[in-house]
Amino acid sequence: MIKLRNIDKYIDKRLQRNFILKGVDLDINEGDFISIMGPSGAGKSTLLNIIGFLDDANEGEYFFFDDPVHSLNEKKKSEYHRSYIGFVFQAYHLIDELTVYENIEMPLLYRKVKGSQRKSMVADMLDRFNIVAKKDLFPSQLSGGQQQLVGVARALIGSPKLILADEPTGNLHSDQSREIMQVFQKLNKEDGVTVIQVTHSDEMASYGDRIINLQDGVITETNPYEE
Amino acid sequence: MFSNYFKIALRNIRKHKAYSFINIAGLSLGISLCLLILIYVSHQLSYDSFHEKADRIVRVSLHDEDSKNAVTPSMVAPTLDFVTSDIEKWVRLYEPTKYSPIIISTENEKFQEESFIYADSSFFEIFSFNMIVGNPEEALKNPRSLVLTESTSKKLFGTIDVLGKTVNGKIFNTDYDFEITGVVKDVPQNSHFSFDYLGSLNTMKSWSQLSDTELKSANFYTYLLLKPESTKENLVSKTNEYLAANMPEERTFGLDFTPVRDLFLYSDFEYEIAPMGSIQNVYGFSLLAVLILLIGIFNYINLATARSSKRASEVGIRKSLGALKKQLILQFYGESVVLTLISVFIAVLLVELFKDPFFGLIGQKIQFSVLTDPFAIVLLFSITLITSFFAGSYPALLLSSYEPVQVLKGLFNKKGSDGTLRKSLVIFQFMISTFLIVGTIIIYLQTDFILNKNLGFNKEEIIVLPARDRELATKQDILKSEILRQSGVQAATYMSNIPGKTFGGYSSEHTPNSERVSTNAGAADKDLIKTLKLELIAGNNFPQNPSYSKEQGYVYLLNEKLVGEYGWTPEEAIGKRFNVLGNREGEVIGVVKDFNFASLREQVEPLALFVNSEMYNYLLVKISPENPQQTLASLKSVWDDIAPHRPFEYQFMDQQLDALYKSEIQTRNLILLFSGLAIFIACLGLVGLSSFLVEKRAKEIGIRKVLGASVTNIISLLSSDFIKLVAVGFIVASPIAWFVMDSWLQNFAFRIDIGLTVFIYTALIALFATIITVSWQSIKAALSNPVESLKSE
Repeated sequence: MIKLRNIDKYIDKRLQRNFILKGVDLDINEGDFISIMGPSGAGKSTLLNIIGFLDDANEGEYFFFDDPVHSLNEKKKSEYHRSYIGFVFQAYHLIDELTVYENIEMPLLYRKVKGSQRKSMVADMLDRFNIVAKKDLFPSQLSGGQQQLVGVARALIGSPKLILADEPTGNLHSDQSREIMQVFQKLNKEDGVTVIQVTHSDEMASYGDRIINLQDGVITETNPYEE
Repeated sequence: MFSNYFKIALRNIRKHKAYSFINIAGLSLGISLCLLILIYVSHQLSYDSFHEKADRIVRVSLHDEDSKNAVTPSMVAPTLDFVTSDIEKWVRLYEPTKYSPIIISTENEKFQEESFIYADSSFFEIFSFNMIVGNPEEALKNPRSLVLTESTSKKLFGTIDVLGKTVNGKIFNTDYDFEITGVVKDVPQNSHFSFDYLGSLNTMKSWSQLSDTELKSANFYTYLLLKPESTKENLVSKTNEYLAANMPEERTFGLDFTPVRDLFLYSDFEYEIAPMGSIQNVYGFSLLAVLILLIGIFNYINLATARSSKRASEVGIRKSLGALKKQLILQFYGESVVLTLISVFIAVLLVELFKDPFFGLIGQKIQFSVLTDPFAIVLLFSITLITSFFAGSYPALLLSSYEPVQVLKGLFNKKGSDGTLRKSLVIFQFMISTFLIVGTIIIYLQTDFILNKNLGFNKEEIIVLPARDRELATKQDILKSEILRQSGVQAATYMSNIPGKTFGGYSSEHTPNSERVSTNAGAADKDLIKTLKLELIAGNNFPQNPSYSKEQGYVYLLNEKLVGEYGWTPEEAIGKRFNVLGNREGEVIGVVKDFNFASLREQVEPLALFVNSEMYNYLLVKISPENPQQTLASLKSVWDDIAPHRPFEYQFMDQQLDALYKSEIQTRNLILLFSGLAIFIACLGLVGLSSFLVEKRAKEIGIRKVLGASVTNIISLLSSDFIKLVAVGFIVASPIAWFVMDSWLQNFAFRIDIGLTVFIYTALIALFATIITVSWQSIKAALSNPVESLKSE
């Protein structure tokens, strides 16, 4: 599903080139649940952003379902965002001015889903995450965990094939974190959704079935469990 | 999708109340002023377009070496008709009320009237005034026929069913019994001349000045209706050919033809039929309206970009959810449309509420409603589009271009180039404000100057009584002596013309060597000097009962200016033979010091005064400042006793003189309003901007406070940035303001100097406004507990 070949990401500073990612090769298959780990500044989020088309690599090739991402235009990328990828952020990134219902509905608007269908899809999602009662509240009226649930619900409403989660539990305490991880695990096992998450926590990483360790922009170790 | 944008826009407006208030207040004020001014401008541009044949109507006027006159002799129109075949119809207007009010009496009532015009019978074939009763072709044919306007008819008779009724008119020294032959709709506001009464010029058939064949004085407004196939150029060339062939070679005069629709805005003629507008005002006012709207739009742009860091994460989220840049641009435009629509809505309310006082302020009576006038609706629509476009473009393009990865990670670059833009916009706003403040101060000082300038005569406590008709002619002396006997009356004099109103223009000559000088001239009696407190600098006043006949000769008082034109000293002038208009041979007996008998826009012109009791139009009464009401009451009883055929209607001379500067006073009021609003809107913007910047620098302020900065340190730190911007705006705008206002002052022969103080005051006002606005936020920030701001990281 995802094939990264020799990906470089760097920032040029006067005489020096600072590499964030260097020579990254990575293959991810459909149905994987992958945790990216590593110290701060190792390039975890950058890797995730490149995978999610939010950022471009400076060098190297990236194939998404055999489509060369490095030569996709904005429109095509948006299309992928709408139909294949769901994002979950550490800071939730809900839109403050929209209610829970409207936040979840938003991706459907960009996909031009019809009104009646939208209604039922959002209702399903609210039901699934047990937040029906909160649908008319604004994000600021929810706890962090609830906000992240909404964030996950929003990511899932487009039935994505791939979920990218950047420290989804970074701001949550452990009970809430586990809840979110269980949701991811369930999606992965039951619906075959590919999940890639960045995390600092070994416990959270253990929900996945494969760990990628990043050190200074280089993958140092993959699949520690395979031994 | 759109409902989503709309919702976000509305909720943003509700959530950020202060921000929205600033934007909406600025925009709605700007839009309402813009609307009002554009309505005014379109009204000004519509003058005389209601005439169906407006394209073919021209007015003839006369110029000579040093003046352009709106009036022509009566023979001009018939002669032109004879000379060229271009003319389909012609009409001459003569307005007796230009010289003095007339008395119109019905069976029961009498009215002093000021708007009576005589016209040739072709009047209604040229001009499209809507006749509602009577036959337009016949109405002005017979002598002593009279057409009324609808409201005049209702005033006189309470009805418009007045055909065949008669009224009596006392016009100058003659009484006429007019038969009413028609009623027209009231003259539209956008007509360059107006009338309440329209008499047939045939009534005046026997008047010596009205001749189709002989050259007499210029008293008539002459209009031509050209044939459809004729052109103005053709008319001009034929006229010039004729003049060249028939006039002496040293001819100094010529004829001009002005299309009727250009008259109102472009006339620069003397002796105009009514006060005219000016295209400069139209341009100036339009520019001001646009500037005010710009200040409001700049507020929007400034606040939107200042807030952009907050909106950025929303952009990031939307992009990661698959929003296209195009869709985001649309969304942000949507927000500016929503905000503009709200502002437009409020602006419409403001316009409806304040249109009458506003138009009153600039001396216009414009009937109009935004909601029903198709022009206004088109205007609203375009203002909405233009404003949303200009206000929305920069924020929309800036925000939609943010890269999601940066904003979501909080790496959003806070410096950016938008800081420069914001600064330039603030500078520009304060340039406009500076310009308007300087303008306001100068216009204020100048109007104050002309309203209070010593005119060289006393204008206070002088009552002006129109007093010319046949019956009064025999009672002049009794009336005056009775009035003088009343307590509180200090002096009284008869005059043919009064200061501030047109004096006749004549050519004068010093008889032995026939040296000619053109001069203003008028009649007055011996108490003129005493009543107006003029200063006699040589010779004597008029004697008690001077002669004024061709046989015995006239006596003259000249002003210094006229004496100077002849190259005499005041003393030399005494005893010189002198003649005005060629038929008033006489002797100079005195010279008076120059006084401003006309507008202060002009220098004092030559003036010759003589005695002729047949020419008196006004009685001027100087009363004592004590108890004027009682004096007026006793004057009224004398008047009603001696002149029961006339109502006792008077005016104060100082008020009449102030009316000369109506347009200056209107401009002054308007610019005061504009500059007040401009500063208000600009300061609103500053409040918004400073609160955002203070918020942004909260951490810096916290750290500084922890490190020992005092409240004053913080306030000056935060305020100095803005003061710098305002100072730059001031420095850039000052020379422009000086230049523009200096050229405005050139309209006046008597004017103030633009001193440094004007600019010092302007700087102080701008500075004061800025400090007040900005320090409000700064103080709040400086007083806040640093723990609060530091903890948030």
